[in-house]
Amino acid sequence: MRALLRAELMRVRSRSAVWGTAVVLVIAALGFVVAAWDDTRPPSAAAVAEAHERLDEAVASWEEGHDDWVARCEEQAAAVPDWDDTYTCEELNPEPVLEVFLPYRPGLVETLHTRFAPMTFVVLVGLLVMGTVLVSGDFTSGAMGTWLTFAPRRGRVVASRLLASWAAAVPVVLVALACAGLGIATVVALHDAVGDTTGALGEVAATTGRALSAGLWATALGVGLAFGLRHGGLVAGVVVWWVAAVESALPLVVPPARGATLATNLAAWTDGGTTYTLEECVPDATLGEVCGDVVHGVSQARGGLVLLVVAVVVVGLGALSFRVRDVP
Amino acid sequence: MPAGGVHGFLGPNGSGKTTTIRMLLGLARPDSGQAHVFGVPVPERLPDVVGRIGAIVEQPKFVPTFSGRRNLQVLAAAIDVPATHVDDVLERVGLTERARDPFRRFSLGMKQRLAIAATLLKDPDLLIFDEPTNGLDPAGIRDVRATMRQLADEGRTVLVSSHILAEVQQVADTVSIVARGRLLASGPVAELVRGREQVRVVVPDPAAATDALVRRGWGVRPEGGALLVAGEPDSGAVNRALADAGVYASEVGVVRDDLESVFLELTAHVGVGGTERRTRPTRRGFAGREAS
Repeated sequence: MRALLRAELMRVRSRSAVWGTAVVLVIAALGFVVAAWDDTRPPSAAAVAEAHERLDEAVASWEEGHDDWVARCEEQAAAVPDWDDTYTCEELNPEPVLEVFLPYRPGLVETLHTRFAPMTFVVLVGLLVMGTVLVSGDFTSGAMGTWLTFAPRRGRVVASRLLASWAAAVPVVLVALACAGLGIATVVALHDAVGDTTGALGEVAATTGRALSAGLWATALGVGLAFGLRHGGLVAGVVVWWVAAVESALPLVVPPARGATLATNLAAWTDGGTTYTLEECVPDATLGEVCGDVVHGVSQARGGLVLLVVAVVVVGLGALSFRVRDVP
Repeated sequence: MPAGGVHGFLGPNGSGKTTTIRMLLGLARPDSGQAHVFGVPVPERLPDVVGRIGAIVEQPKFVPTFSGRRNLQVLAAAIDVPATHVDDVLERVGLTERARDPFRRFSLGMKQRLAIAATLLKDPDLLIFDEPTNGLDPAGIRDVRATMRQLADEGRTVLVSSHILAEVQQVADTVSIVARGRLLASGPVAELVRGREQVRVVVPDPAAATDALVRRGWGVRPEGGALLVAGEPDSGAVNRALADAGVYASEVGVVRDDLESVFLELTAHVGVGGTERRTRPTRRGFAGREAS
């Protein structure tokens, strides 16, 4: 088994599917970096000029009406017994400042949340494709038959291929995330928009963990489906059918099924739990029936368990199919 | 199948040669029956003996984007063979110069040679070549034939399946002939061909000659301007019989059937399901150790 795993690792290192996936994910990561650059870039001279113009108008208006406004405010404060005096009337009507009229620029933590976290979905799709191609490519070329004349124990072939695919997936994910994370941090710093960094490391760690776990899960699905179906096109067809029929259409027809979809359970696993809303009706004595939205929760543990079961079933069925069917 | 030498596995297209080989290698599962390689049942215990078997099934199939060397390195790693052995086998099949090229750019002949190199990684006792010369040019065919002979001369057993009989006859020591999934004949090539010699005579009076020869119990049939006498390989006896009848032959000679004739005769008489006919092998090795 050790020799077989070593051979599989050597094979995945040379497979263009691995390098291709890495390149695609890095390009996607750079896309998020570009988006972060756009989010945090300093305002243009025209935008600043316009902001100054609007600020001048606002200041003029403020100066004109401020004293009256404060006087009215203080009158009301005196008239109302339980007036909230946390802020004085002067503080409640501050002089306008330029920042209010400049385009909004998020800080590092917010940018990471909006532009780094979506990498999880990209990783999921990329590694599903990579896992599939690493297996289906050998069926398409016929190399699997040659491989079996050297390694006839098919169970070990599946196991070693899965482990090698995982081993390839980890650096691919980490490289893509590093490109995205470092790129986003760099552009935010270059744009002098870092702001408060509290929680930045936590955001990075959480996204890395989510993307890695989702990536390994997707890799296992790809490998299992490819061993079962043996053709990348067939795998793509099944995945598209599943997304269209089960993930999208089924919850529309049978709303309670929303809690059982992979999307829901994946969200529960990656986001530390999730919720979904169902319209539920109860009998009412006067109105006959009262309907309203009811929020249902899906815990992270349940999401993880569902994903684990799905992965085990898909890989198991793929391995079984590979064991019992002839290999061309 | 005897151990040592080249064993031809012959049959028309669709006769079951490749299916048999694929079952021996565990790539296809038999509906029923048993197969043994090196005395162990396959595919159940194939892992026990797979290290002694090198095989090319149909066309050589490798990872197209890998170089020839990389393909062999991965296969070598799977069976714990040192990477240095890869260069040895590439050298042996004459692919050292092109070893860095991607497999997809190889010519058919180069692919075939790479496949042979892959089989040699294991230093196998049994080599299985399934239609190894399909699509090769004459030089490639000659190379493959020479390689098979060389491997057999090293003491290995080579099983070569083919439907090109003349080619197999040139290299095989023994053959098995199958059709419609049934074994029709098996044994040394010389044994199969022996007894299929005919005496060809040219005589001035074919009718009188036929009469005289048939009276001796031999089969006679005209061919062109001559007569072919079956059942008596001794041309002298035929000549004497003609002379005794007062017919004097202007030409007498022995015509030997080749493997193709044997093959065509055997397969022509096979009905649905086939009939079995087995020669009794006498060559040393048949009665001794067996490769399978």
